[in-house]
Amino acid sequence: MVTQEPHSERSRWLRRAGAAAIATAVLGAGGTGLVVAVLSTQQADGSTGTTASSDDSDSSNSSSDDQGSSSSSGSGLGSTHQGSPTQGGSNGS
Amino acid sequence: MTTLGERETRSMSVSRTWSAWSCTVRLTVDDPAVLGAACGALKALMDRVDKAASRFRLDSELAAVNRRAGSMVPVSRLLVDLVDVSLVAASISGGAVDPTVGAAVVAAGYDQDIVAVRNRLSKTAASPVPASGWQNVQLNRKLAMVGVPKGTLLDLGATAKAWTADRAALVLSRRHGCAVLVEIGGDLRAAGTPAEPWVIGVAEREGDPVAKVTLSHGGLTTSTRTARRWATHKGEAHHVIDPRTGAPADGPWRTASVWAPTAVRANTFSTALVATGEAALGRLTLAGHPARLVADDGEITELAGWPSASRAA
Repeated sequence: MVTQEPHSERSRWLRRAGAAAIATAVLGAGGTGLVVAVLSTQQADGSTGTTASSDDSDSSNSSSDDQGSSSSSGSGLGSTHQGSPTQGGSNGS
Repeated sequence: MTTLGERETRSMSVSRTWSAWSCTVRLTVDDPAVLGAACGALKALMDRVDKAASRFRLDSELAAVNRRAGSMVPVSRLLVDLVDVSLVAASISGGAVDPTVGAAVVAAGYDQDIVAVRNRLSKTAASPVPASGWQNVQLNRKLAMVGVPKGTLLDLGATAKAWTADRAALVLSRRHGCAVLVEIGGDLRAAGTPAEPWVIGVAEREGDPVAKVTLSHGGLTTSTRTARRWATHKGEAHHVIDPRTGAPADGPWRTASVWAPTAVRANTFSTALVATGEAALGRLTLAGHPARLVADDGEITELAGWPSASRAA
C-alpha cells in the first residue's frame, strides 16, 4: 500500500525539479541572447574584431581594442575657417 | 583645485616634429608638461615596430619570416599584432590592401629605404609579381608564430604606420590623461578629448596647398601615389601596388584621404582607393566613411560627409 506522504514528497520534488529546469532554460536562453546582442553590437560598424595582444606594459591596448574604440558615434571631421592655424597635417605618403 | 591659469596652460597644445621612417612625425598634446615623456614613448614604440617589421633591416623579425618562407617562424607579440592588423585590413578591403605584395614592391624597384632608391641610378624594374594572397599567410596567435609560402615576401608598410599612430595615441592619452594627436607620414590618430577639435591640413604632399578640416577623434589618413616615386628604365614608379597585377597602381585616383574611427581603418580605405580605384569604392560607400578623392586630372570628389567647406588654400 502506498501512503499519501511519499506521494506528496515526490510531487514536491518533481515540482522543484521542473522549476529548476525551467529556470535553467530561461537563464540559458537569456544568457545566449545577451551574448548574441553584445557580439552584434561589437560588429555593428562592420569591423572585424581580432584577439591579438601585445606583450608590453600597455598590453591592454591590443588591436582588438583599437577596433573596439571604433564605436565612437559619428564622424570626427568638421569644417573650419581656412585661416585657422593648423595643428597637424595629413600629407600623402 | 585647478586654477584658471592652470586650465589655460593645460588647454594649450604643444607639438614636436622630427623625421623617421622617411616621413614627418609629429606629436601634439594639450598638456605641455607631458610632451617630453610622450615623445620619448612614441620614439621607443617606433623603434620597437622598426625592429619587428622593417623591410629594410636584415635583423628585423619580418626579414627573418621572409627569409624562412615555407616554415613557421617564432616572433614577438608585437609582430603578431602587426601581421594580425595587416590581415584584418586585407579582409576589410577585399584584398586591395594585401601584405603579400612584398615581392611586387621589390620588383617595382622599392627594395631599400626610399631615399636610397631615389638617389641611386635608375634601376631596371622586374616584371610585375601579383600578390600571392593574404589568405596564405599563416598566423598562430597563441604560439606567436608567422609563416608565409615560399616565394612570398610580407610587406607591412601599408598598415604599420597607422597601427603605430593608433596605439601611441591611445596609450599616451590614457597614460597622461590628455588629448593627443599622433601624425606619422599621412596617418593621423586623435585620442582623448581636446578642448577644441584639432585643425588639420590635408594635402597630397607635404608643402602642397591644404584643405583644412577639424578632427575631434578617430583616424585621418592620406594615401597617394604622388609622393614616394622613383625612376626606372620604364619611367617613374611608385609604392602603391595593385595586388591584382603586382604593378604600381594606375587607377582613377592619385590621392585619397579618409576619416575612420581608427587610423588603421582609415588607411585601409585610403590605400585601397588608390590601389584598386573603383573596386574599393563600393566598400567605402558601405562603410560610410568620409573621403576626399583627387583624380589624375586634379578633380576633387568629396564623399559621405567630408566637410564641403574645406578648400585648398
